[in-house]
Amino acid sequence: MAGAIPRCSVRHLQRLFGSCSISAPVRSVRTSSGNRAEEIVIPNRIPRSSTDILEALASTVGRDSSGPHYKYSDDPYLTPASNVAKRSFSLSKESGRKAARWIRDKHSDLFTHRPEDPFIEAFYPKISFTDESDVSEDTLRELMQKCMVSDAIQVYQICKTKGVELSDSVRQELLEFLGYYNCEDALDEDWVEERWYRQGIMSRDRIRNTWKDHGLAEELFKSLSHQGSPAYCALIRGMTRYYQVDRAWQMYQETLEKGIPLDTETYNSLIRVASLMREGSDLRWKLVKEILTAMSEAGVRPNLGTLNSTLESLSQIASWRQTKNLSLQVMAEFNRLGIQASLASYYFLLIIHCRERGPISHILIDIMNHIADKEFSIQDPKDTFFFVTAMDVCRNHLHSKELAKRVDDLLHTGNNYMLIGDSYKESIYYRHYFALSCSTDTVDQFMELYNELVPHIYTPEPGVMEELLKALKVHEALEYLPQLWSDMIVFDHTSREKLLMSVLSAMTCHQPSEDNTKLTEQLATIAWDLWTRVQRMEEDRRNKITWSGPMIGDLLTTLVRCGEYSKGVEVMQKISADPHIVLGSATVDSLQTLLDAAIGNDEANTGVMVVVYAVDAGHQEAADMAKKLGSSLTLNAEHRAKLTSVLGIDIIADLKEKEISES
Amino acid sequence: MITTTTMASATGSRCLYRTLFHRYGLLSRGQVRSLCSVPPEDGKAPEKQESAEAKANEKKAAAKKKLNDLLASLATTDRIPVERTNSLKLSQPKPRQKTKAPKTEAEVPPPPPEEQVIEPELAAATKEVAKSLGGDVEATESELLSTLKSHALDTSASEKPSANLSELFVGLKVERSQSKPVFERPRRKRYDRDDHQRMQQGTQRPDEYVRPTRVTSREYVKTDIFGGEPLKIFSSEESKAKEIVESACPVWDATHAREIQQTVVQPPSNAFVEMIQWTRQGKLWTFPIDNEIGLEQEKKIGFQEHVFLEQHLEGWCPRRGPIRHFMELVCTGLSKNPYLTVERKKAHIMWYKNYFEEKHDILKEIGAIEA
Repeated sequence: MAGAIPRCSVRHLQRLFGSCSISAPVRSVRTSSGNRAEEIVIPNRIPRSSTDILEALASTVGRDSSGPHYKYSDDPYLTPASNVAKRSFSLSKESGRKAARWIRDKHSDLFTHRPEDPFIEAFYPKISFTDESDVSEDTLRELMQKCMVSDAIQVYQICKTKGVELSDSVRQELLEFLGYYNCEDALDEDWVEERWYRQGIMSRDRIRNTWKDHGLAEELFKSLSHQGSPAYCALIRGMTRYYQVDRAWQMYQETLEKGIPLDTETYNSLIRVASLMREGSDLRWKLVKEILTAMSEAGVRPNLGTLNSTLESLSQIASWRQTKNLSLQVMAEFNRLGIQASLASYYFLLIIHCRERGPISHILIDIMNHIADKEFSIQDPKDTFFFVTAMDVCRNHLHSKELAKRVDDLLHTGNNYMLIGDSYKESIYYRHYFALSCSTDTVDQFMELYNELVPHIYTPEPGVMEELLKALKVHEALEYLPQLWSDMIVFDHTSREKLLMSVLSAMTCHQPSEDNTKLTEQLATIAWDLWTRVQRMEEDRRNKITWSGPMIGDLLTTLVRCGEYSKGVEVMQKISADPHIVLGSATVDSLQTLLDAAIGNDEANTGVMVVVYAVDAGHQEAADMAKKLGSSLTLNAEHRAKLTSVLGIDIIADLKEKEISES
Repeated sequence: MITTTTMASATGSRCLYRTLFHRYGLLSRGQVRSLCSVPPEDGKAPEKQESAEAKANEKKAAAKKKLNDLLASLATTDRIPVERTNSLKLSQPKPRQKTKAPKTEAEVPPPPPEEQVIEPELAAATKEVAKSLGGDVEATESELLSTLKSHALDTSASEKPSANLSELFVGLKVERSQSKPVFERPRRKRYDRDDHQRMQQGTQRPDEYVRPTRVTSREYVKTDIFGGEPLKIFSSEESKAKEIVESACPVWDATHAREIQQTVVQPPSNAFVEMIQWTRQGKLWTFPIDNEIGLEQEKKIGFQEHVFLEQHLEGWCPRRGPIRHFMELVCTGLSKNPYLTVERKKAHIMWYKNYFEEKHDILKEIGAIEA
């Protein structure tokens, strides 16, 4: 990773050094030594922003998949591996910052020492306002600049009570500002982690009218001396943003009546919610078309937002037969207008074309052909949905690993990785990628991917882990099981019954031989570790694992097969002493394996215990097992009495009689 | 029990009649499959016919399911005689199709020509179904048509409104297997709560449920994403000719841009990125390093004002003598001090001026200034 400078960084450096290319000095030296004197052109100074150098430097550092993320403490002991740990580590760190800031704001009178010059505002308590504060329009503008909604509202109220005259322009600005945030505080831009973990939750279930009716925004609207186009635009945008659809539509009708022109974004916002205003696919589309026509007639220039809103409306009627065709028409229309589609547009196309129960559409291939190797920046809030959806389509719709690889390459082109969105989308993205690789690749290819991404970039969820274990079992690639088991311990997966079941059943496939003695030992260790872990769980644990018949059977089989006979006996003793710890009973096969081992080790005690257990469990084969035991080992009187008491007949005597009669 | 039955029959009656008389509904999807020569891929019906049939089939299935549910619910409560419902005044449905005058069963007409029994759309649809199912197209089609015909006869015969629900049930097979839990994957959006919950619980349904079986081939079919017929709502010339219209809400747009930008901010991935963040927040010296960063006031003042301070002695300081000497030293010292603003330097000099003025008498006495 560190060896080669990524392509993008070369570009960055070139931009930094402008026309003065790196090889230039060498060439000029050579020419000056020659006869012909060449004119030296000194390039003009290129103005740089304050972060250009840092950006160029940052672009030379790639993501190191073998180390933890930069945000975690640089200490192997403190490196989180499981998803829960990752989340709580990052959020705790931020929580500490939050606590510090809270103290600072709460006791702002203690932070008055200001040695630095220039003054760094970010380090000082924020100004709090009271009714006596000296406020003006500029205070309001500054607060809007800093995105402090509740303070802006407070200052507005103070202005009102103190009778400070506010001009229409600042009222309009405040209207736009409050309309955007619906008079609610936004998440501070410093809380990156919180946003990183929260966004997945926030972006759902938002289709719900949350607009504050008759709130401050509407009050501002009424207080304007002249309610012109900007005021209407701001209010309609605000209402549609928070799904107050009916009143937004009313406002729109009002503007039509009064002949007030609207701007592009306002039309876009109306198109976006058009499908909430009508029932029935054709009526919805008709409405969208109506608004588009109105835009065209008003001479309003459409933009990317128009394209995306139209597609978003279409995506809400994706089950309609004509939608697919219409979406392509829309794309063609905007392409004709010279509007470049953004990732969000492609995301909507994917939703429209790749329906779960619809016919297979290969549109993703066409999209990838179109956008491969391109770099994107965020242009639409929905841009971040593209990658996760594309990967979903690769996995569930097209089952194409090759395509998934292309999507992944695009994600790692330039700065595209920032468009992954948030932790939730990231982990779904990798889940799909993993599961696809698991079902299409060979085990070795898959494990290569696993080793690259796990655990620092992605931690498999239990569901993915289960599929993985199943794949290992199917491909009989048990050599990876020890690695997976240790990962499972680190990821805190060992308390999940399904996973333990998969591990146990995979281990029974192992056939010990001369070549794999090391693996045999490892598997025996795993089996024993698993048993002790489950036994150690406290009784009152919420989801305590109960042994099931097949599980205990697989455990016994594995232990015996892998040469840990004595441990198998220990387990057997435990389950015959407290049969209630097992739901059901150990399988016949495993009991027979254990019995064979007992016979092999010449341990009549164990043999009798196994047979007694088999009888208690009600296995039909118990009698045969007893016969086998009786014929292979010499049993003492106590053993015979035990067998007789449980079986009801003296099998050994029967056997002997039979032998005698046969001989 | 009684109330539920009556309610079910009252509310369901309309739906029941509709579905019963919907002649398509009587031809179930299963029957279609059993007719055609292609073996079914699996338990699921061939859903992927890309045509009206898929939808029609779905509708059919839904209608059939509704009917079956209703019948099953009636059938499970049949301890109550069905005749009970007689006492209810059920709304009599209108026959769905324009029917010929109801005929008595005694005079069953000769089978009418195909077109009369089966509407042309239906016939066309049948053809397409037969095509999409593959195999012997013509044979399948004729089989389908004959089945349809027989059903059509059945329905036209029973189209005479029946007063008795129980009569309807005679000879109808009710699928009681509906009581078994049907493993149907709930419809979900591509990216929804389900996913999230599954992730939180860490469980996922095994893949057998997740992957609906698809019948269509996996052959790559090219879709030209820009190749559709344009809507022709906007004219390109006009939009190009026009200047970009100023947005009516600049504050909104700025806020939106900021919020969008924040959605892609990730926790810093290395120290440089973190420094970029800090620089943007104003916590770091900006690159390239400049000692005068943030000294906005000083930028307006030239260096000469810092260095040449003697001009401020004009007018009050004696031309020579110890005070002049002292003040020149003060000026030299101040001119070399980088930490004071010009204002402060001037204030220093003015302080001395005031001081000497206060002590004017003493100074005069000792001869430090000339009289």
